[in-house]
Amino acid sequence: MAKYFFRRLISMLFVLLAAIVLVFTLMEFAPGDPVMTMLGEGGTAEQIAALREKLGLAQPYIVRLGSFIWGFLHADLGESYRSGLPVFSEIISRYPITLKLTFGSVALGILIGVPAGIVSSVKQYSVFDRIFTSVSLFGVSAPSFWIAMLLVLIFSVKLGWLPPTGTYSFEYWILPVLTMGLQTSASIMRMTRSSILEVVRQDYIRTARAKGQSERAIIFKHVLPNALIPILTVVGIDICGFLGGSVLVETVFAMPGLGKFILDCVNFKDYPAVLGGILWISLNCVVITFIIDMLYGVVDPRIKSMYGAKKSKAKAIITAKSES
Amino acid sequence: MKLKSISLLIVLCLAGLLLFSGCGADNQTAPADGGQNASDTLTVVITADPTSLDPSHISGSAMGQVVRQMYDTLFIYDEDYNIIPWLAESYEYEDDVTLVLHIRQGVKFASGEELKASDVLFTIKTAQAGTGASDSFQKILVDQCEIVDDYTIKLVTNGPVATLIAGLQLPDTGIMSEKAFNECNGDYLKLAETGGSGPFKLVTYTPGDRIVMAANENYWREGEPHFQNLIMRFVTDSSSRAIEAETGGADIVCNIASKDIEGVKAAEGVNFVSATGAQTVFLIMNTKKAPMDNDLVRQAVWYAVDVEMGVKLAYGDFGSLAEDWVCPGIKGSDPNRAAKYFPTRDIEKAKALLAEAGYPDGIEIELSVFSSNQERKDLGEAFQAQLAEAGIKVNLNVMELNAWSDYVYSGQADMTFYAMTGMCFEADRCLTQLMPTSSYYKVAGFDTPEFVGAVNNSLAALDEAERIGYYDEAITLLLENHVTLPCWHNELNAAVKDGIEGFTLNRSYEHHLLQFVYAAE
Repeated sequence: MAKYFFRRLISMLFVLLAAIVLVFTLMEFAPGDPVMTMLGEGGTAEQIAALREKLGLAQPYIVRLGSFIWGFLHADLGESYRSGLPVFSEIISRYPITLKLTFGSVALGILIGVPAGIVSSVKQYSVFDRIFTSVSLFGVSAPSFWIAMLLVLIFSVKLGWLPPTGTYSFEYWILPVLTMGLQTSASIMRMTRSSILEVVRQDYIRTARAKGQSERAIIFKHVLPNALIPILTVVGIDICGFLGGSVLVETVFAMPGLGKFILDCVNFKDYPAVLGGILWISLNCVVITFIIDMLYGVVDPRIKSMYGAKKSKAKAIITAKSES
Repeated sequence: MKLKSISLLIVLCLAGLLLFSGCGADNQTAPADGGQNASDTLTVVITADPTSLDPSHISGSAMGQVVRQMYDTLFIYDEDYNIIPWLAESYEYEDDVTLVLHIRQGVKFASGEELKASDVLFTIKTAQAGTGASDSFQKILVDQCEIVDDYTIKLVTNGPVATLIAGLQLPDTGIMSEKAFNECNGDYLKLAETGGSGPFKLVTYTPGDRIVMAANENYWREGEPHFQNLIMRFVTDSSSRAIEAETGGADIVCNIASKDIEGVKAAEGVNFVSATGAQTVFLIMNTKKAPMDNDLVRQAVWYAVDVEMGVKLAYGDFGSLAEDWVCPGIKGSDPNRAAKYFPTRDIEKAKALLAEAGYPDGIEIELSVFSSNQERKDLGEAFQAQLAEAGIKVNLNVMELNAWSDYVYSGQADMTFYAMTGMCFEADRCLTQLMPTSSYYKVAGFDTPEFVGAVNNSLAALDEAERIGYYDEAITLLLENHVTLPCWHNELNAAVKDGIEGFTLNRSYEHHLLQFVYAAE
């Protein structure tokens, strides 16, 4: 496992390095000039030159890329052009919002999606199945900003139950989490359903039924654990996507999250902030993927036994060597 | 084992929900009454995060709106847009380049320190040392300025500066405390807590979300501000701002989008206020790029468009059809100018002009607009259809904002829609953007000696009548040469909750002075 861990760690560093080079290059060749944006109306040629010099933009591309990588290796992401604050502090101040929105939505998605998927698969082609499948198809297809506006119109404007924007207390979070949670639940429900339907056709399930086990026991003891791998994969992808920022939902609900921050910085051509933000997201995705990979071993006995077998085999060799 | 894995999944879900349930435990203060406003708190929704609280480097009106509440300026405009001394009690010109300011005595910063002439000079020096200092500050020669006594300062400029005083009412000229600045070591958040001379001081700033301010108990105007707390929230999405207004989530919601105005007007308990702004959107033709370098082609475009119809289609009832080169009321405006120079659509004349220019079979030109401004795209489509009738095929080049900026500012566009704002409430800021010294010069590339001379003369004419004469000369040249066709004047607006009084829209730079706002008895 240690070898696996270090191998993943090294590949993670390469992913981050590739992300730096890619994003830096894209920003370099994308149109727009941060200096013009910063100076606004009436900036003179002298002011533009002075600011470009101050920000280091007068240096060649390769020098700036090298200096950014050097800074990154020294845990220095630079300062935002927009705010003048360290990029790291800008990211960290927004990260809790994104983190809460992500995990709240995914948790809600699992709590709705997994039971709905189980019912839908166990009662295949029943009324429940058709309702859940249709609703999930709608959930997957409907754009998040549209669902968000719909929820706001119903619960804030018409009923007046919930506040439309902000993040100040629990009730402010209900609509954004519901918006993203409903979408996640749809994809989780669909994946749970198809995964369970695949597992219930396996021989060992037939054997369990032949042995007279109750249907409930079969589903929860034999089917669901074996169907969890694809569900975990979907959850992992959703978490990575949400941590990358849900720009539309953050914009509609005026939430100061990471996605909206990065988008604003892209528009401003705030190179350090965009690079820092994307690196942060890349890091998160790598870590989440790593955790999901580890969870595969926990939930799937086949994967665990594979590692276990390797470990037992290694132990046996060591024992044999020491005995000889 | 299998049950364990399901338990693990459930635990993970619950952990997520627990995290979510902890959402209320932010370090932020919730608006009183869960979104409703307590009587001592004024909640204002604006369109964007200021991103920085550096008082000497304001980029965008949202930043100006926030920073102006914490830093007072030497002058302000009254409701009729007459300059009145503010932190400066009075002033006089010693000569064309020396402005003597008498600073108001007894003005205190949030720290309790008294504001003195040295703070004024320090503010100017600090702004000049940074980037993006205000135009007025840039023209001051700090080495030649003189502090006569604690309350008198002589500001020496690098030549006569006609709009120096008008510029000293803009939010990027707010006066800060030298002592507080040095103690804060360049941290503008700390500075805003103690070093401001304005009616409010910073309590907390949550980037991307909101800024919370408290009344400056040392403020020099007795009885102001009327609210003890000010919360300014940043809501970028226009629909969300409208919903905030309709649901009464804020006392004042600034900048309601045109599509949302009817809904906000119909909402109960909300008063909709609006005023013509200081910004005009122009169709600008690039006089340095063929075929637009030919005045006959520009004239053909001039006569082939129906601006009124285009504006009606694009903007509806929002804002107003341009009735002058600058917005009405701004120094340099002339109510008779439209009748003299604005075109009346004449397709036959446009065709004849094209033929005279050497294009009897028509011509193909390009109009650049940026994608995030739907109204300008609509106006472009309207003009495209109108120009086609005169044999002018327009390729509408819709670009992302940054791409558009690069393209247009480097002089590559044939024509574009471009907005210019008379933020000093004079025509100067609009005209200087077209000058060869400006980074926006290549949008039009118009640099005849007469035009450059008239603008330069206007910038140096301290006498108002003389200055307005030069403005008129420069504007007339732009119109006679068919360089800038005024299309639309913008509108400033806000939704104000019932019971909130004293709010006035500031046309100059949208830095509405919230110290005058109060709750009706």
